[in-house]
Amino acid sequence: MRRIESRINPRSVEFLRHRARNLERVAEFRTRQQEARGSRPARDLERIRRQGKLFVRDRIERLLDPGTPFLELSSLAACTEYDGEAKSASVVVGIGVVSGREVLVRADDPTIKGGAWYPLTVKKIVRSLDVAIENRLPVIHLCDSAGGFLPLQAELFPDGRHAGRIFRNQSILSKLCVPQLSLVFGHCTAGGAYIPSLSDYSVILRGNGGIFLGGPPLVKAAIGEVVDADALGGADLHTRVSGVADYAANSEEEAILLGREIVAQWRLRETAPIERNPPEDPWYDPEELYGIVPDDPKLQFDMREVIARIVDGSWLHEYQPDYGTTLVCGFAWLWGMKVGILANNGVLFNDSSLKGAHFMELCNQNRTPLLFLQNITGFMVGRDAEARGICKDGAKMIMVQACSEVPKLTVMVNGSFGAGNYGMCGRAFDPRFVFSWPNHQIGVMGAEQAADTLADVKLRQLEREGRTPGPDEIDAIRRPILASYEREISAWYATSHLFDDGILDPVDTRNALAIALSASLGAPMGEPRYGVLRL
Amino acid sequence: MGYEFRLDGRLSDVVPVYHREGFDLEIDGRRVRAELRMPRPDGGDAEILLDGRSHRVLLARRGDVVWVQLDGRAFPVELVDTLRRAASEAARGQHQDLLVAPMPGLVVEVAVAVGADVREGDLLVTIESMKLQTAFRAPHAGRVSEIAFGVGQSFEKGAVLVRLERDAEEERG
Amino acid sequence: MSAVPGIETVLIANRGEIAVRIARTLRSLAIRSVVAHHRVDRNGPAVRAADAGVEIHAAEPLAAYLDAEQIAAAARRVGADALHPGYGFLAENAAFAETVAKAGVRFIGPPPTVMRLMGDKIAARRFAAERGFQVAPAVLEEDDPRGFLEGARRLGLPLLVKPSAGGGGKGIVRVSSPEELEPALARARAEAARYFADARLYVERFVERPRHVEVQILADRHGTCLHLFERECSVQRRFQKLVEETPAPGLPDELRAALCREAVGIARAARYEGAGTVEFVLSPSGEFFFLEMNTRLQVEHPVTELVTGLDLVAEQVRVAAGEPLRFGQQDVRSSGCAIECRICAEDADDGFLPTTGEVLLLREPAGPGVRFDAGLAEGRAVTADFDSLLAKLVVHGATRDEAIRRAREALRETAILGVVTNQAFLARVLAHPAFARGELHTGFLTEHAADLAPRGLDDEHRLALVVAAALAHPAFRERVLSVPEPQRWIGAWRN
Repeated sequence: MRRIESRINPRSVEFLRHRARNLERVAEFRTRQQEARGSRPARDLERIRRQGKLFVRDRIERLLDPGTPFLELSSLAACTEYDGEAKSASVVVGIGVVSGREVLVRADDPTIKGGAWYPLTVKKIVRSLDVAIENRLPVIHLCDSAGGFLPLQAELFPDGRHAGRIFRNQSILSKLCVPQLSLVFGHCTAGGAYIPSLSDYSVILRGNGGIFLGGPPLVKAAIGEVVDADALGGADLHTRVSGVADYAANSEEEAILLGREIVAQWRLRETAPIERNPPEDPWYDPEELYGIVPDDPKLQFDMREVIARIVDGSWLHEYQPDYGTTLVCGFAWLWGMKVGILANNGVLFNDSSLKGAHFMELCNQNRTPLLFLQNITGFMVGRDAEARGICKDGAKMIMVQACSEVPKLTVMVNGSFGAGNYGMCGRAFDPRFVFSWPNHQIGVMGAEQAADTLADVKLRQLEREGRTPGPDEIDAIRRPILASYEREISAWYATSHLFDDGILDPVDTRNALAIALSASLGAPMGEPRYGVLRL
Repeated sequence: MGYEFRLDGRLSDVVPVYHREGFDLEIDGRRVRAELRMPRPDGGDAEILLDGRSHRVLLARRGDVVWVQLDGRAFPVELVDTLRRAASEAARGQHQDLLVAPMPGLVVEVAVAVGADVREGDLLVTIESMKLQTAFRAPHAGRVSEIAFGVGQSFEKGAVLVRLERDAEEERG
Repeated sequence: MSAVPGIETVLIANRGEIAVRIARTLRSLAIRSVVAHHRVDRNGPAVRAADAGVEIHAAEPLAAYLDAEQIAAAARRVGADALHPGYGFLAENAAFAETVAKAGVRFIGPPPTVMRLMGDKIAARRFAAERGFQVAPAVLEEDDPRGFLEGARRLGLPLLVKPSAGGGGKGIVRVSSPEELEPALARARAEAARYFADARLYVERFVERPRHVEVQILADRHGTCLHLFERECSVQRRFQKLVEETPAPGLPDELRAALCREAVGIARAARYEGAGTVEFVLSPSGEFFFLEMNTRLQVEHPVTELVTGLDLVAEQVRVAAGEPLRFGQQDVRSSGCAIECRICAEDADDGFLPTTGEVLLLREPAGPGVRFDAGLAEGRAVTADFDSLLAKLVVHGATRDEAIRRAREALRETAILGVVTNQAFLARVLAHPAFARGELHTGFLTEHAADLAPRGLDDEHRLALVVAAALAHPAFRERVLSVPEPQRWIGAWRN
């Protein structure tokens, strides 16, 4: 392995300009995140205080082992929807350590409309259980929800990946012998009642906790029976009579500590053996990442400079260093764990596609997890590329990537456009985790290009009608398209819709990837096998 | 929220601050690089280093209590079972009342039988310890569900002497 | 072959530190020692210190040590020539002494008649008063039962209500105001009945700022009766002694001589035999009054031993064997000062409530002039079954200051881990300037209660203690290190 040699000048005008711009972006990210995590209407905070409830993030802090890290996923989910009311989509999801075990924590947030599930809430919960299944991560549910958000029920109930998928995922997770624990702090009504019921273990809080398929109002409407929540499905009923819940607790603190004790009974997960080394900090300062990525998507930068500020000791063993140079491939260590990195340094050509495919095969043989650092506008176009068979070379890269058995992690560093997203393991290809940087953009094509294309269509239409628009008119057509496009390809939009598992401050990338990677080792790695490669 | 140690009637919060070589400790918010040098693993003479400052101590452990003698003063320091602590705090205000011995001693008188209905203020048991007698009276009306020690039997501090069940009906009234 | 002809085997009818101490002397006299013990003490330090043990059976441990018949029978069974009762339990029980004698075993102590006389505090007072010795003004209930209350009122305040059959400070109630008198009498009567099976009372004028000074007596069966000087025992809590010393600080020589003379006079008049102690109340003006006589070895006898060089237990055994004392009054010299601290299983920070636990670690202080009498061993349980006295730390110094210094150092070195003790409280007493100045009286601990109250832990100490406990705790370490890598390297990070 060789230490990457950095060639940037941290005092250059460009560096400082990029840095200023990126720091602005990061500051915006932090502000939005703080707002999503902390700001709530006073009325809602007062209500949970009256109910004797802890704030959702306080519950999580008490649950986690002291002094350990917590990787929160999709903290800005739903940030562009529902008028910004559903902070973090009303549910907090993350990976942490409880009683010495890596677990996934999923917690309802009762300070947002009583914890009601919006469509994106359901999507986030389903995604969290997909993560649990793919990585064989035990799950701790902190249940406190009013149920589905009725006004938007058509967007969260009927379809294949709507609410039902939550319970299907729980069942499959259990089938895989991965334990689940539910701590019931509030009501689990209707479908929500199945979360503790499908969990291996459940703790229910006396007083506030309740599990019932139909709440008191529904029961009264349906069969005319008048009964209060506690008698209908409270702690004593379920832990003494029905057996639906396992343990009763008299305070939230007791419930959480009891949960920790339950988790301490679980056996430790078996993890796939990968190569390990004593960890080392990167040789170069990760803070310099802010100055590396330019604000103009047309400007190039060397992805090796990014790699050098993420991996241990900035060591990299580069594969085929002189061939297919628009794709950097190599082995490195991340907090002592070996990974195979694919990183874009330009457009994907035939040779870079082939190199990528071959390198991924090597990683599969070697049982080395893959890390994709995306900054890709697409594959090469034009007659020459087509004649050389760019389609089949790209297809080979996509086929090997899609069929990989080793865990895949993706970080979208700057841009992810078109088919380049596919080859470089975008969301559709089941990376175990995919993160974005705040400056990132993701779309079919760049905003300017899209605005040009769409405006062009409109212009041609006007010309056919016999009109010749002036420059102002053209601008008036172009600008709204550009604005809407820019909004929809921004990292905020993407993370809001859960096209990724969260935005990361670039300096957090190293820690986030290490935790994600460690989590991903819970699933067995199969023997390498691919579909037909069009040779 | 970390591990809790009880010392001199107060809880101290201890959080490990991990790093590559091991862990420092953050005690009640104060971070310190700490090391223990103890030749015999089960206790005895030891030296602790706090940010390089050395202190000689004597240690002995029994269960969750570590006795530490520093500068001629000995203290029991207990690793709190936080679940038990939270559970017992949360249990107050529940239906059952426990009358607990404030000190070790002997039972000299048992005034009621198991199953008896008592009114507030009724004498339950009298204990004696080093020339001090203490009478335990019912804190409220209820039914005696357990009397743990008979006349002449000795008990430890904190032992449950009498279990008194509150009549839920009575409570609401 | 024992060094005391006629006494080959002695049964020790006691436990804890005094039994260990007696066994030590018996060994030095080549006398076989057997400890009578309850099952709970079967593996205790006393049984180990002696040559053998004989078990006494009873449902509760305390009852065993009060079972006169069984103990006497055990003494005969093991072929004991003599029985040493220690202090407490049956040590001042005349009936027990008679039972032992009937079993053909010599009782190491005075004759039962003397025990009876001095055991009855009222009778003892009367005895002393009749022979012209000085006693504190008092009113005895039995002199005039009906006029007792009125007599008590007229005696003047403050006064002490005492049980006639009492001893060891038990059952004494102090009255400071007229309203307190009747309830105090009622309470004292109830306690007297309970502890001594005798509800008779007497009330005594309480001297302000009195000193409790006692004189050690040693008398043989041949008419020799001497004193071994005095002891100051004013540092008391609820009439229980805590720190004793000899000589009594600041006592003028003539007063000392007068006290000792008075004590010898009383003991001789009573035809005392063996070791005993005459207790006095000393007023600030130098008046002294006979309080009571204890017909046994006192807890604090080691201070006398350290300044005189005598072994009181050995002397007791010789007297019991009928030997005359081998020295005269003029041969007895007191050199230097000795101080004793009683280390008890008590929580001085919590109303001195008795504590229990297990001795997990024991470090006894050692060095020149340091003596540690303990009935402790690592692994032994400290229970509520018995008295809370764990050990006596006794030091000797050429001067009182040196003795205090030695005591403080030795106390610092001492460690009894596993049970809360009054060690820190004793250290504060010894460090108190009033103690250093010798300004002692029975209200000393009350007067300086605020100064002697425990100081809270400062942050630095608290930190050190918590760190030590945490790092020494295997479960804590295990849990902390159970966090997997890389999380254990990353630490408390949030994104």
